[in-house]
Amino acid sequence: MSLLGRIGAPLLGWLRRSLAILGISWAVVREGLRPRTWSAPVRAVLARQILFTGIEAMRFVGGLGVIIGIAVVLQTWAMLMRFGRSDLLGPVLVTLIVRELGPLLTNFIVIGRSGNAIATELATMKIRGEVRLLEGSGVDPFLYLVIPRAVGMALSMLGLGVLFVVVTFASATLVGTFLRGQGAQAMLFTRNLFAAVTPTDLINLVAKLLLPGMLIAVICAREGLSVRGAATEVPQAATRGVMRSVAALFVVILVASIMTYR
Amino acid sequence: MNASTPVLELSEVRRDARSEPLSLVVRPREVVLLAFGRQEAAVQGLDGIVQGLDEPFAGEVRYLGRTWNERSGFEQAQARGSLGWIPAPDRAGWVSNLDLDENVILPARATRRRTEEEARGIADRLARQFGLPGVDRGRPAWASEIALRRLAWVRALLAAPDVLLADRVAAGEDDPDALAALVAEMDRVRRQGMGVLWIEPEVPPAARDGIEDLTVVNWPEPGPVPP
Repeated sequence: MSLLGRIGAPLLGWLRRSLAILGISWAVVREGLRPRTWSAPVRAVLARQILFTGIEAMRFVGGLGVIIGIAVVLQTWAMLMRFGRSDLLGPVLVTLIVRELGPLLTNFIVIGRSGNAIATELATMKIRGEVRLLEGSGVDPFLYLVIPRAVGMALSMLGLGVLFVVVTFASATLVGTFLRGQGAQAMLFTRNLFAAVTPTDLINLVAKLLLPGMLIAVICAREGLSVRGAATEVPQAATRGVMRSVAALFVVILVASIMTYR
Repeated sequence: MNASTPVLELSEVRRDARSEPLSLVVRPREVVLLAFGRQEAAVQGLDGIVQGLDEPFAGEVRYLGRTWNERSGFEQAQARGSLGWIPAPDRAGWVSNLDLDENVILPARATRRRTEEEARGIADRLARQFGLPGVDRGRPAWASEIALRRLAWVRALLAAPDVLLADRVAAGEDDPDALAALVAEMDRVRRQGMGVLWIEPEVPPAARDGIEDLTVVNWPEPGPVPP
């Protein structure tokens, strides 16, 4: 193979994959908006997806939020005190937590817990002939397997991301109040924190949660359903799903940051 | 669609280059039994071709008056929802992460052919008719082979299909009463307009006894092997 071919082949493969994922995502949005898609079994899969991805991860995400809130406020406080600018604590925390860390960590948790699970589950179903069975029974696998997972994942991601931010802010407020040593300062600290949140921050947060949430499900579902028949393909599909989801996450986060804060 | 228009039509269908072409027609209220004799390999994959999941090597399948390629993806899924399917015992028959009752009512619910309450009621009635205490609520992996086999009959009939594709339901069935109950139900439903394509190695006595105007199509014998 020529040098050009060696560079071009993976690039073309990446481009083809990206277009396929965008196409599937568009189909998820289009079909997801049609009431006919949401038959009772599809709604049941959606509810299960929200339960597994969203509700069951709440404790973990909440716990992580508490730890991150404490860690971030302690470090930021020490640094800002050195410059005599403790009033910047709110804006710094918002920049860190709402704009970047919150969406990033929530997405990582969901990729590890649920993206992996979706790829493994669908790959196993494919190998066992269950996807074909669904098709043969008149159940469209795209409507039944992909759409509710993608929508459920996006909604769960949004919920978990908001939970993470709220818990992190709450723990940061508690620690910040303790550091200042004055109870009366608590309200001021909280006000300072929330005053630093702009509508752009909220749009950015929603974009960095909803879009990757859907993309992760689409990527992992695609990888899971792409297996052909050997059991060894299942972990390979899961690994590919996770790695490609992480790559897509960084692209989305970068694009969203550029578009909202340029 | 009137009573004489075929609901399923196979014209010169060949699974691969070596298989003999198969032509048959199933009309509403008709039970066509395809007896394949000792050529089991010849019918492997025929269900997928009839359902439009696989393309035949040659020939054409028309389901409810149209070929599968003439339908959009959504229309194909809708059409398959009207095709009750009892898979052969050696084929994967159940979604493992759903309970059996969810599995049984899934096609009827996904295609909106029955409400949940109605589907569960009919499923329980059919299960009892086929010798089961009702529709089991456990996972498919925990159920007996006999229960799974009978529940596959229930699932196929539950969606009130226009066509029933029954793949080797009698082969290996030990209970003649259960099979007779299936044939009786098949006969009852086809009198309301359903067409049946039943694939078996040979004509089961229950089919001869239970369906008076049974149409038997023998699988074409293979031609001479070229030198």
